[in-house]
Amino acid sequence: MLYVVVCCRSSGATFDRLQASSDRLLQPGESLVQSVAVLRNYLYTTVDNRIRVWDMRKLQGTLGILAGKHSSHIMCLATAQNLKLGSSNCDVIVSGSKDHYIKVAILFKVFKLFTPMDASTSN
Amino acid sequence: MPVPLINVMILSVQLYITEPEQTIETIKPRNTLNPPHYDGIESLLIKDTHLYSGSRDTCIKKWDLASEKMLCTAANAHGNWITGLSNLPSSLKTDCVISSSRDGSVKIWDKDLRELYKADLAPGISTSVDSICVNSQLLFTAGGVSHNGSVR
Repeated sequence: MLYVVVCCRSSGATFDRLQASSDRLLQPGESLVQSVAVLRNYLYTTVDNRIRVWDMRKLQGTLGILAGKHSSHIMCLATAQNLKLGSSNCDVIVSGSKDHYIKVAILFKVFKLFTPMDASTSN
Repeated sequence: MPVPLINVMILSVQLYITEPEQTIETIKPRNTLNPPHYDGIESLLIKDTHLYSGSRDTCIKKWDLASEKMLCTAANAHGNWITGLSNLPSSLKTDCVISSSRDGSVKIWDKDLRELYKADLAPGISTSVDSICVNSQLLFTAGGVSHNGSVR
């Protein structure tokens, strides 16, 4: 088995290996990651009152931040795939915060870049 | 010497082929669930289209994600903060949830948040259960006194 360890920091920096134990203390600009969640190919980690989004296929830098207007630290995340909400199927990210509120972000698929090749067209 | 190199190449190619699922997604602005808890949220659990939330105010609430309304609430579910929520092991096909608390107890709730079962993991000693997790048969808890055992 081959394992690849990538260390992702709350500031968005990544390292190819775990850092030495001497700098386990929080560095300036970093904050405690309270919770992580995985949804399809994306990794969601909390940064204070926001959520940082990582692409797990290429863990180099982040895709962006979900700013949810929480007024305090996010303590926990929950994700679900393919929920049938109303008429459409969608993915859901839920965040719970120290500010007493729960917020729900809903992901809609717009279209697929690659549609499967239609095999029946040749004959 | 070349053999491990080939292994690494095959592994990386396989990972590359199986993983990409290229779609474009949009994110709807966030909706806040009301009424809020009276203290910070400590745990969340999504089950079908329902969401369970456990809070430091010792309440468990159940929400419907489609209508974004609260369905029911268990006030004073535990004697202290709710620290974890989890499904029951998949071998028991029920729609109950398990909650753990800082007062050192674990409780099982049915789908209308009625208490079915209570277990004190360390009676008499003030200790907390900080996290809870299940696999297909066993329930694992982590906390002041580490403990694991089968469910019921």
